[in-house]
Amino acid sequence: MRKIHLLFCLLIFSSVTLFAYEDPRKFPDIDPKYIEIDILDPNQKVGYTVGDYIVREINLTVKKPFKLIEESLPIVGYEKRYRGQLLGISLKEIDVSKESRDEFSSYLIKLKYQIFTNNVVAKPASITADYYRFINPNEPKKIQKFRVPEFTFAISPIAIFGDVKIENDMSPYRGPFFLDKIQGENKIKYSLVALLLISLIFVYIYGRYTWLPTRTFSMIYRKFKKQKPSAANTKKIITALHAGFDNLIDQSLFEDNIPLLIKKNNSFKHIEKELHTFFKISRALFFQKHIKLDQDELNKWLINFALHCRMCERRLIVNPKEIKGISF
Amino acid sequence: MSDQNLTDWRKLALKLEAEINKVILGQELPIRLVTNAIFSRGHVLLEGDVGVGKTTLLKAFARAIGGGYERIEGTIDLMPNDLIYHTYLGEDGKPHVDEGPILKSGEDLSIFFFNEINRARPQVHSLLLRIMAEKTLSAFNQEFTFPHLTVFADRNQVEKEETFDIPSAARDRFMMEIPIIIPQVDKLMNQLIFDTKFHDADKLISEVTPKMLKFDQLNKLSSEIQNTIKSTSALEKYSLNLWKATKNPEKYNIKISGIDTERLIVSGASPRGISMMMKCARVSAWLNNRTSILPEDIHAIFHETIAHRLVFNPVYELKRTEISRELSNEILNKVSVT
Repeated sequence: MRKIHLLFCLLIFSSVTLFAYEDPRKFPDIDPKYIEIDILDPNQKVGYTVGDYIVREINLTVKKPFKLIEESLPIVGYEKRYRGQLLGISLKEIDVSKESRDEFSSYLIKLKYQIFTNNVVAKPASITADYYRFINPNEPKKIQKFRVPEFTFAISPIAIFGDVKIENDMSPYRGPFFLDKIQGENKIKYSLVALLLISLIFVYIYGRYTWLPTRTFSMIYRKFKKQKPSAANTKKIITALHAGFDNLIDQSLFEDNIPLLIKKNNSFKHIEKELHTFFKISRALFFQKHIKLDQDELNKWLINFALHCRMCERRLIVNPKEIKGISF
Repeated sequence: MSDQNLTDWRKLALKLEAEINKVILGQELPIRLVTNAIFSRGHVLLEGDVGVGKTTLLKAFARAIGGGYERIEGTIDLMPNDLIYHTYLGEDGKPHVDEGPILKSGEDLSIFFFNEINRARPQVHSLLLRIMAEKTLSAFNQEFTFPHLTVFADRNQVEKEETFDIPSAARDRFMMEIPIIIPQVDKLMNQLIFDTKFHDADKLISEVTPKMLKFDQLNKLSSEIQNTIKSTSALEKYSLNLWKATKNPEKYNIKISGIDTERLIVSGASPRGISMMMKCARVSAWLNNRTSILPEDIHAIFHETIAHRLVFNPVYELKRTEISRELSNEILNKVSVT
């Protein structure tokens, strides 16, 4: 009983397998008048090697009453054979688009094959012919075939034949090949040092010119920005600003040596007009008693000027629209 | 004298300046300084190389100012009495005595031009000291006064043979010592070489309008300027600090390369020197049409009114010209106004 059961299973398996490998060539050829085919093969015919792709585009027009049996198209993963031998070429992708009209149906079939074989010398290879099957709905039992021609090409070796095999050439005079990791490590080290240096430079620039609150005009601005207008306060801020300029150029700054200040810090060029006004104010306050000054307006102007000096000290550019004059 | 008069005089002063600038090329700054000295009523010493136009400049000013003008050449055998009188045998065969250059114009003597003053002996310098400081002279049992006198002198520093250093006391009598330097501008230098107009100094000077100023009113005008132009306490403090810095530069952190500033100064500016500096600063403010002195007015005349009064350690005296220029620049750079 057990044997009968085994035999039955074997018969079923054999019939399924045989059906699966049914030879398409046994079907009669379709009358060519019903078929129009246009194949676009790659221009490259040689130089293929393992891993390469070959793409074919087949434009197939089937006239009524025939229809393409789409199950007869190649299946992804199918490996091409020649006389039962695997060729090392398999279908990776298939893309079929269909367009139906009253008189015909047209199919655009894109086939992408990949090569899995190689050889030490060039060898011929081909994408063997495929047989697509067609059916006439009026005669459903009479299936017919159409042969899609093959595409032949040459597979080339990766290396030139006779290339040295290292295992056959173990000369004692040649040291073993090592992967040199020191260069890589050094690159990382140098990169880290460069990164560190750049970071330090940025910190220095940022600290020198931007945010450090200990700089002269930063302190002046901070000290006086909230002061109330009065003659005494005006004198104090002007004196502090003069001291700031003197400190910056390491000598007394007068109106006629403003270029020295600009040479020392070019940002002050953008407030040159304000600098001249500042000296005008300073002269009026300290040396020309007959000139009357509006303390309120003056105080605002001086605080704004101190802010601009702070910006210049930080190498920032003062917006020209923020530069205001003062009348006295 | 009214403000209007001061304004008119100012215009005249600027015209005088323009007139001199017409005949002296590239010396705008020395001309401004001499103009300042004229209205400050101070004596002027010009210092520079040979042939740079010192004498021409002073002669041009002498012509424009008007009044009595006398000139003497400094020589090694010049004696003080040569300034006062000279003797000669007359046509009648008898000895005669005539007034020397100092006395010839009497009280109208406006300009006394001492050419190459450093060639004269110290005795001559001594006589000049009195005339410059007191504007009086005792001779022939009588006292002569020269109320309008301004002494212009020049000296060259290149030649040292048969010359005498002007003592510090004599230098101090000069309100200004003005360096004359050849203009380093190609266009001007070309003009000096190729424009024949500048080859005949006497003809050139004759182009200056003579007697532009009323010389006998300059003293009054000067005191009016001094009374009109004001200074503030801040400026007075600044001037005082400048004066102190001439005495003790090291206290003001003044440093000169290769010089020990602690040992440099033997004697700083004198009170007379500082008062002359302030006089000139007032005139500078007036010439710039201001009624108050600004620090810039002091800067404009500081070196010329102070540097020649400083007495240096003998070690540094040989390089006086370079050191004094550097020192005065450093003083102005380091002494703060506020």
